[in-house]
Amino acid sequence: MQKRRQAISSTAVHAILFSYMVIALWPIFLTIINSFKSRKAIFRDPLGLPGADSFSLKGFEKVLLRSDFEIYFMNSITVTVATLVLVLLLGAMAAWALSEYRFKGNTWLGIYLAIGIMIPIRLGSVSLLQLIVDLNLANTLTALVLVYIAQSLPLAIFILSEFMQQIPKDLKEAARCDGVSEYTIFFKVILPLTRPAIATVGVFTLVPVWNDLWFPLILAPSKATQTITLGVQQFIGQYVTDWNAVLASLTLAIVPILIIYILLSRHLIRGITAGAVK
Amino acid sequence: MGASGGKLSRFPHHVWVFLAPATIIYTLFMIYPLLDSIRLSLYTTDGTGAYHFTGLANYITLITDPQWSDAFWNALKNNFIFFCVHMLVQNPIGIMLAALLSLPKLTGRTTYRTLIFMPTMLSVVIIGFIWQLILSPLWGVSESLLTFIGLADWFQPWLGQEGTALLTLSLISVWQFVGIPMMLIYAALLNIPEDLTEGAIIDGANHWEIFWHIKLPLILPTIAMVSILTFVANFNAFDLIYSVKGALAGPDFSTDIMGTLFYRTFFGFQLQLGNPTMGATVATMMFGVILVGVLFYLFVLQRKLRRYAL
Amino acid sequence: MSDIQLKNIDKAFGKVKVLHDVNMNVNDGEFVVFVGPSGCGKSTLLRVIAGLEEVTAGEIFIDDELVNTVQPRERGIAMVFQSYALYPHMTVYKNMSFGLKLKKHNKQEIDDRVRKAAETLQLTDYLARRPAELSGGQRQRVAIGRAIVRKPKVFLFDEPLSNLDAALRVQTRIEIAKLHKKLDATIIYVTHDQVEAMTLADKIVVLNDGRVEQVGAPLDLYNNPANIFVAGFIGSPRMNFLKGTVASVKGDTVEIRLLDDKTVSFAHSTPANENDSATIGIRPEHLLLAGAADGLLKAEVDVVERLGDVSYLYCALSDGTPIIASAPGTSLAKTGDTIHLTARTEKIHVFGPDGNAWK
Ligand SMILES: Nc1ncnc2c1ncn2[C@@H]1O[C@H](COP(=O)(O)OP(=O)(O)OP(=O)(O)O)[C@@H](O)[C@H]1O
Ligand SMILES: [Mg+2]
Repeated sequence: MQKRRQAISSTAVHAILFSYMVIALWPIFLTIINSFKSRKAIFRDPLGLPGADSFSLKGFEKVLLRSDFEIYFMNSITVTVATLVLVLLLGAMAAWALSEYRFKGNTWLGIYLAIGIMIPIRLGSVSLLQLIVDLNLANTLTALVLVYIAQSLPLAIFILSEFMQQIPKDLKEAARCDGVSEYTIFFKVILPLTRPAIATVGVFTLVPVWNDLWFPLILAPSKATQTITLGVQQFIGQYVTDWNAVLASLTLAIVPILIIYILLSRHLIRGITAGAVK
Repeated sequence: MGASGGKLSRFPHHVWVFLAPATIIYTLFMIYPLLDSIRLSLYTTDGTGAYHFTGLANYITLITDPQWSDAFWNALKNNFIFFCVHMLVQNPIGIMLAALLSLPKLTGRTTYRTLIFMPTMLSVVIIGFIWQLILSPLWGVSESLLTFIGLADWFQPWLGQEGTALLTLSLISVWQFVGIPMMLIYAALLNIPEDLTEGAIIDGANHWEIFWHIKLPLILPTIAMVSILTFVANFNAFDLIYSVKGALAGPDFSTDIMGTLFYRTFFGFQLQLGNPTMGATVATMMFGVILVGVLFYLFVLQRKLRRYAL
Repeated sequence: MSDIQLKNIDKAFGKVKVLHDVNMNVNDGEFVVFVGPSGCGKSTLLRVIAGLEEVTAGEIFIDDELVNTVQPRERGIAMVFQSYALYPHMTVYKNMSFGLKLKKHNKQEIDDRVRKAAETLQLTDYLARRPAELSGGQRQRVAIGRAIVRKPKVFLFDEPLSNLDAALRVQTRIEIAKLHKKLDATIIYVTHDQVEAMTLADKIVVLNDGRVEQVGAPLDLYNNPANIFVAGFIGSPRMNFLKGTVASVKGDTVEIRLLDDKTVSFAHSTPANENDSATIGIRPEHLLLAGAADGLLKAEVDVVERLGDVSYLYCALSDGTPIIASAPGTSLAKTGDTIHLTARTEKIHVFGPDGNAWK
């Protein structure tokens, strides 16, 4: 009797979680399967899997032909990777200085650098655009990278300094006793030890940057500098009625991030559950 | 601290070399534009492009001049609705999912949480388009699904109607971001030691009572944090409305929120020219709203809700 | 009446078997201690009794009622956790009354019970505090109070003293013993500290690797360990073990040859064969210093630990086997000395090749 009741309630839990999982996934799934179908099949049987008669790569052909998807991809990758590397490096350096050395204004500088966690950088767009124009950086990927670094640094510094505080004192002190320079300590001892946190920071940085629409739209909207998100947005605006092409372009934009997510989800979840955000 | 203090006096340049690059980039591309925007909001431009100081005139125009204020109050109201839908739908669902996920002895926990979190990772633009397709009467996917569960008559072009567009967009955003409250609260629930729940089981509590009397009080600080994150994200939202409804946030501005208003004011639309100083004014208003929320969180919520050492 | 019977209990976590065919009885009013090395399954067995874990096989009876599928709250048990598991957001009063409130007892009744328990445990002044504002010992008492107010049939304690410092541990141990007398309660108590086990228990259950090695009164286990494991586990310092072989068997008498061709003889009834290997066990406190002539063992002293009333001599036999002997505090033995040791035959334990004691 008791057992049965327990079994029923655990079935109910699975039923709820499973249904929600279906709700979360089916729009994505639907988009991906339909992008591999012929136009007719998309409308006749939107819920069916692509079969022998309905399979078609037409959408992808059109997208690749009519737009510069490869360029968008390369732009997104360039921007994301450059941002990632610099955020991790500069963020780790600053986090190390803040958590290791006591100096005047240490706390205040920490607070100053943390403001950006809560206040979105977008609100400064008017002056930011002016600044980028003045620096002759409009319509360049450099502009995006610089802005994204500024946007990502606060959270990166916060997470990394929490992490660095937990590095045992003995390690650094042993190195200092060996007479090693502070730079060597940082690059040879601390940076390698920070690797677990770096994965977490990496995901937190990468996703918003890859997905952003706002800054590509206002700072670098030219054909040559469009990122994938902006590229897809513009492409779809232009070919709204071409369902094959629209679905294919969405699929092309979804798949890379899904792959990265599946590869890194462990780190991301560990990062969140380790109390990265307190 | 003597050791590191000593380090400072002997090698102060290390500290600066470590700190300077991050601080400079952050200051130049984040803090300076923010402050400069606030400054610009106190100026106005004339035809020649020259700036004149006007004090608070822009704000007065924005709030009282019908040409501006209608749009402003409408966007602010819509933004609050947008936020309320998140608070009332996204966060409760997130809490519920987290509570279920943290039940002891649940199999498939990792799979559920990984997959439910997936939409959160995708670009808002992509999500917007996907839902636009799904809800489109042309395609008919939603209609056939509703027919399948016997609700065929319910179908309407929700995204196209003035009365339902904002709610629909809010729900799309809820759908996408429910993973965030779920994960953060799930993490908080995991931090509650198992002994505590087992103690409660021995005390005679069922799962529901354990959640209500033990777990919920202990995760209130996390719920407050989730709420402020939601608040900031919602008052800064733009991408979804822009990609689904365009800068005009139709139909008839019924989905206009602060982000889209800011964009239109700054860059102009149709016949109206872009106006950087008014744009800066709108942005500063957004900044103000967000600041009020954050300060409320820091000085009221965080102080009231004590975190218990677990 | 609250006795507990465990019949053929098996417990596995997935493929890992943690308890193997555990059988035992706990009588009404008895203080039973589960003791064993870390990871041997003590907590698991306790949680099985509490109903926090389901058994893989076997039956649990409380008061002759089969409770395998009964929820913890309906088993009439209360449990005190090693971590105390106090609710951090509730006051001491609320912590103690939480279970009663859930059971919908009336307010007056709850208040009476909480105040009475608080008085017994000297917690009356702390009722309005939260756990974070209490010392370790006070928290410990709140945890016990939470159990008392529920008037359970059985109290389950899982290493309740292990988070306390040494002095407090002794004091609380005595309080728990008093409480047992006062409440006349049935208590099952888990510890890996054999001193706690010896001092508190009416009956000790020695567990090893998920199996019950021996059940008995404390002195019973000390005097008549059933096997090498129990012999080694109970008693401090540990019993000395020496390898030997059966030299001869004559009727009821067996002669065992040790190092240097020394022999000892015992009367016993367990069948044995010549040349079987056997292990001799002698507790340090039963080894006596002797002259060279009648010494059973010759050893060299490595370290002397002087505790005042008694000194422990850590020695090595000629083949290197370590051995510990206790000597009076006045002993003059020092490192490097060669000493001779002997023991009274009735204090020597003999274990067969399978590790079980020969009787
Ligand atoms: N939930 C579980 N899943 C898998 N294995 C478990 C689980 N709980 C306990 N075990 C395993 O069961 C064995 C017994 O654990 P148990 O906690 O009962 O030991 P214990 O005797 O209480 O040890 P200690 O003195 O360290 O508390 C251990 O090997 C442990 O690793
Ligand atoms: Mg244990």
